[in-house]
Amino acid sequence: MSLTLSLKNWLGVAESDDELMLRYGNTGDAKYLSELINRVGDDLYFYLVKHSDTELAKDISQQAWVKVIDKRTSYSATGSFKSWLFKIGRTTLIDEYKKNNRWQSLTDEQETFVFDKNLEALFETDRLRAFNLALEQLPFLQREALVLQQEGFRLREIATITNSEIETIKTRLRYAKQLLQQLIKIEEKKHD
Amino acid sequence: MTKPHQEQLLQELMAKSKQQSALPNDVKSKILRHAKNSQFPLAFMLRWQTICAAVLIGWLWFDASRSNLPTYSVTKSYSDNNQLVYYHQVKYLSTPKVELAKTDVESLNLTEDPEYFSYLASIDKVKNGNRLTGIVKKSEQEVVIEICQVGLIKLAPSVIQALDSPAIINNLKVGQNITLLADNRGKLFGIEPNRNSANNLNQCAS
Repeated sequence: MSLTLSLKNWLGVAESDDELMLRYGNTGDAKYLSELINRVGDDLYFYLVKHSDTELAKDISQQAWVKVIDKRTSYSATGSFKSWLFKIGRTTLIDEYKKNNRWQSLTDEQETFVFDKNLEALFETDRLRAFNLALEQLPFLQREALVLQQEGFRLREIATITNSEIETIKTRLRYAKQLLQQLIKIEEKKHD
Repeated sequence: MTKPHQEQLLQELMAKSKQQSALPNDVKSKILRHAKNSQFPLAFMLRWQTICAAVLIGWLWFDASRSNLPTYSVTKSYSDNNQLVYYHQVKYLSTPKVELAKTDVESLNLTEDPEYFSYLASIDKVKNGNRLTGIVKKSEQEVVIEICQVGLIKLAPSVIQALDSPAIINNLKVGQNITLLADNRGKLFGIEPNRNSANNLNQCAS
């Protein structure tokens, strides 16, 4: 592995996130961690912001990366580094919710949501704001599946990160995309 | 309106939404500060007293001029039970008298220091002083390396820095056989796992 990494370095080929994490685990050199934060730090933060608030997202981001630092020698490249990081981040977030007795209420949310008609008017003037508000209306688990999918994770990876079955993820995505359907209808009306 | 178009719209909106959320720089700085502080976790296994007490072997100067009864400046301290001596720094001096302020620092002629004299004597007996084999041990919750020919070596931060092998140091396990590399003056500069079964030790012969 180290020979491969050295060759890649010599040839100027960019290392994958997984290779960087292995390097960090082997050397403890913070420059590798810094590069990883630059690559995927914003991704995790965005996921956390969409499932909490700015302050909590900052706190959980920091905690998650600290866990990466502390567990660096136990990292093995059996899965992608990014999914490992997201799993750590998600677990940390849920632990926080459980500590504050909020987790149960978040998972008790209805599987379907009622589309807020006010969004329709808002979408005409500010599509991004309407989209963000619509995303907020989604139940936690559906929003999570949608955000993770848009982050580039495959169904199997989303299932692993969220400790769920693949079929469950498919269902959550189907419900979540009803949101999109509503927005698309508005888009279609504009074009008619 | 096709499904690919829907997916594209979703991706566009999600990407725009994401542009509004970047991990703040102050959080990045805090994370990196923690990373730098935890580069050598073994150092944190050492109690602060012993971190202050530092090293049994530090900078040893085996000068040819030893036969001329040289004078050294020795920075040393004792373990909690007053049994072990830790040599932070041993320097050959051209002038015999050195004034050092701290109470745990002594300036002395080594001919008057029996502990250091016996240490030099034990080093002299080592056949291959450039490669010192030893075992990782735990002594009173502290990780130490027992070099059979010399004694216990504390992994003080200065030693960890000198060995410059965080990957090996981070993964040291109690009972593991290792080899410490020293230059001709006895200064440590490397550590490597000892995989040669012929040299493997469970404990030093008394």
